[in-house]
Amino acid sequence: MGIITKKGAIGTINGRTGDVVTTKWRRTDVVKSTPEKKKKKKGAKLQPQSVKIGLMSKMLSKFKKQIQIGLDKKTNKLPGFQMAMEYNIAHAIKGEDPNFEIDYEKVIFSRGSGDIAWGGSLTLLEDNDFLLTWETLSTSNLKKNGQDLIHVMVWESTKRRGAVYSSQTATRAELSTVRRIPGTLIPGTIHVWVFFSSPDGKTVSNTRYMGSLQPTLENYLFNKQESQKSGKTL
Amino acid sequence: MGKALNPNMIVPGRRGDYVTYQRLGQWVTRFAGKPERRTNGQLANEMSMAVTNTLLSPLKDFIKISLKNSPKKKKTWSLYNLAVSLNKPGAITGRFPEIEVDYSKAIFAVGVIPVPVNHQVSIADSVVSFTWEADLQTAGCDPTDQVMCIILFPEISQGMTVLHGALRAEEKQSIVLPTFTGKLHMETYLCFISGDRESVSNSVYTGQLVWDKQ
Repeated sequence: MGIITKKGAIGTINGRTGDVVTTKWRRTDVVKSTPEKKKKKKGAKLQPQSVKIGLMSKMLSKFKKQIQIGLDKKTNKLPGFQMAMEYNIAHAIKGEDPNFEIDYEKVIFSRGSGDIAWGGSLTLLEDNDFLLTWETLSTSNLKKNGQDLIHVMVWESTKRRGAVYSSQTATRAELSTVRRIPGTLIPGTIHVWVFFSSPDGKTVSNTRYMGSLQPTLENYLFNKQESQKSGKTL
Repeated sequence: MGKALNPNMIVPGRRGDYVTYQRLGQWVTRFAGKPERRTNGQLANEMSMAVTNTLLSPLKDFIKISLKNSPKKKKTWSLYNLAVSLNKPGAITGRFPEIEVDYSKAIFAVGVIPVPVNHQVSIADSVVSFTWEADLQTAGCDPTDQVMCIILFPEISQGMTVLHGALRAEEKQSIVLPTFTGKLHMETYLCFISGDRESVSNSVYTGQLVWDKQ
């Protein structure tokens, strides 16, 4: 694989030209040979590792931005997403082939030396929102880490869909946040994880699994009607 | 293999994929190559380092204060390097692949102040209490010394630290734990720091607690 350092007058070329492919890898323009043709026959039974990769990548690809914050470091050999895949396939998958399942409590999106979200709870509110609370340590210095930003990841395990809240932020010092469950994830079992990152992005905490929720469709439809009446969007 | 002719450009050692060294009196540079497999010794060393980092990374803020005035082997060492050099040979035990931490031998502070004596630790209602004897008759013990405490949660690689707690003469320090349900082990340590922050005592291992709350 070669790195393109000199760009032409028309910029970088992307795509395949003969036997080489020009693409981007870790924000760097690179050129590499074309991948080999698939030798596997269509419909053939997948290898156990392929089943695990498919299962995990479907979930993690929804949270690429969060993984970039939580695991992507220039000093690491692997890019953040690959690290997340490697760790989670090794530690967060349970069951026997072909009935693999994700062990949601063990999934990580970040790893670091910051304080985790201690204590706290996850509560489903009547209007289709959920309340997330956490605690700070009695010994921690809130002047130093009180402005850490929380990252909330939500995943629905039956439909295999997720949600991130990139525009909504809360700090560690606020001790709680309310988030809305998207209508596309209802009904189902919603899994919630959180981690903190410092405002400069240099320090992140480990991921903590906060628990699961089971919002019902009845509540969602009722609230949708109510909000339409009042002119609000759900 | 290439000759390094410009003396200003010579950087001994490995740099990326290249290694520069002196061979038969002349500086040479060659491709470093990649080992096909690692020996058990190399793997053991890597694992020891990983285990040491797991031990020390939750305590970075503590180490910055407790090892500030400790003698370093090299000027270029950071305080974290110093902590690794104290703990990697000392507190890491076992043979590869069963390498683990001997928490009773971990060192987080090195200094000249007398260590806490008759120390005890207990847990009740999510409050951890450290007690010790002031021992003010001993030379070097000052009533204005302050206690520094560590509660380490090895299973989740987290730590709670008190950087400037109760005075030596008060003989007691309490730490309120966060809300928690489940079972966690806690390793606890204690040391003193002088009022002017210029000297510390050696850290002492005060014991293991089990936090079991349903």
